[in-house]
Amino acid sequence: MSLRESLRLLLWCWGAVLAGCGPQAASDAASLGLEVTLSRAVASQVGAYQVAVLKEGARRSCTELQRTCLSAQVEPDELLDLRDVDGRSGRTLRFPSAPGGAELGLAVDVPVGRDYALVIEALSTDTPTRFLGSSCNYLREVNAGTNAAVVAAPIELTVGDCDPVFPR
Amino acid sequence: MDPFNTALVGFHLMRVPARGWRGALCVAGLGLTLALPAQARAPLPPLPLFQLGPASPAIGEAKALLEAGRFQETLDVVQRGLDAPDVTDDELVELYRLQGLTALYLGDEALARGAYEKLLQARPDFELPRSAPPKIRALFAKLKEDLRNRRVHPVTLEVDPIPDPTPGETVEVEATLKDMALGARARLFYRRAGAQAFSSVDFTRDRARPEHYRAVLPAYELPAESTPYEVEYYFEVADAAQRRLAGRGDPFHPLLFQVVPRAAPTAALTQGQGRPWYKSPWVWVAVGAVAIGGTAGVVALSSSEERGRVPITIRVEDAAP
Repeated sequence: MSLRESLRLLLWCWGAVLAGCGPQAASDAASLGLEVTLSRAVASQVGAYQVAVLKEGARRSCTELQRTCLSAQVEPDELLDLRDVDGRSGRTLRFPSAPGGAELGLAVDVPVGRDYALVIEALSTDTPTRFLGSSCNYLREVNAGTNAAVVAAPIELTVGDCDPVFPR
Repeated sequence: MDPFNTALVGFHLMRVPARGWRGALCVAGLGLTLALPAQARAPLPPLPLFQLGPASPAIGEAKALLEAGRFQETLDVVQRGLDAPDVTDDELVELYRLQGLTALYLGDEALARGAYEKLLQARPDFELPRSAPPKIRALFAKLKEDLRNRRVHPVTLEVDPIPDPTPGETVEVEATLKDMALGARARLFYRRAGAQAFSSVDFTRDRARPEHYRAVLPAYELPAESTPYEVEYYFEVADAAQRRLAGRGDPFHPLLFQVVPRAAPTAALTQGQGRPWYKSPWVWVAVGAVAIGGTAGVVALSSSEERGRVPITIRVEDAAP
């Protein structure tokens, strides 16, 4: 093997090594999160929050989605598989509300990607569970790692006679 | 003296070169003899064909009777020699030669014809000496012409197809061969389906029952395996020149039987004892499945685990008054 070919091979190997270095493809710089504001009147009735993320968020109308239960408007396979910090996974995740209507912090792990719509539904404490209202927010992209919080639309009480539970 | 003895010398010489140093000595001796002046030559002793192998006692006795002109007794002795067990082909040739000659002396042309027919089938290059009587030479020439045109009785082979055998056991094949040519061989050719070359086993004559032959396919050729397999085969009778005289099936259209595995426990036992575990196709199927599954799992994990965490804060605001 000539010297020139050896150098070329060395450079190629070095390039390959460099390609595997550095931070993960998704950096935290463009990360995002969500802040949902809830009126206290609504919060007192909320027993749990149900979180779902829809594919193809740009083609969704959040105004429409907030009118009633998400389960009545989309098919289950339109939802992304989510995971919480405890390792539970599912197309929808439920988080019990904070006692006394206090501020609640939660997090969901979403597959990295673009063009999502995140819907948070407030569910009643009574049985069967009733839909109290929802907050729909566009997620332009979700990067790997922890995304920064963003301000989201407030949840307003909505009169809706629907079942928020998605069929399994 | 037997008028055929001169021919026998020639016939013998045709055969000896293949017999190594003895043949070379014979040729050298003959050359030396021919080089001598005629007056100095000693008469050549007769060299009967049966000297090539163990001599049948019937041959010597028949020759003595023939020279004594006791033809009928000669025929009886020849027949006794033909019926004797373990007669070699060379001895048969000599016996048929004596039978043909004696039959001609007796005027039994049919018997002579049958004897020479067998003789020529075994030794297509056999020639009568020039000194033979014209009647005998004419009959002999006619027989050779018939043989050349295949007007002699064809060999008939009757054999049944081999049924699906039990793996690991020998297969015995019985056949009936009629008008079997002297020097001809009946064989069973076989091969594992997909293999290129055929192996063969010879049919051997049943001494107790003329025209009945038997071939044995060895057990090791039919091993027990976990999956069924097929064996192609055909029967063929060929003369000394490897010309096909009769047969059933042929290399291009062979017959077929299938070797199916025994019952499951037996097959598993045989397989376990007969071949190492790493030669079992199922082991490699399992290894392949694990490898594919593992790779798919790693790919799925590496791709599905790329997630981003979205923190959500739900704040409660007092309702506006």
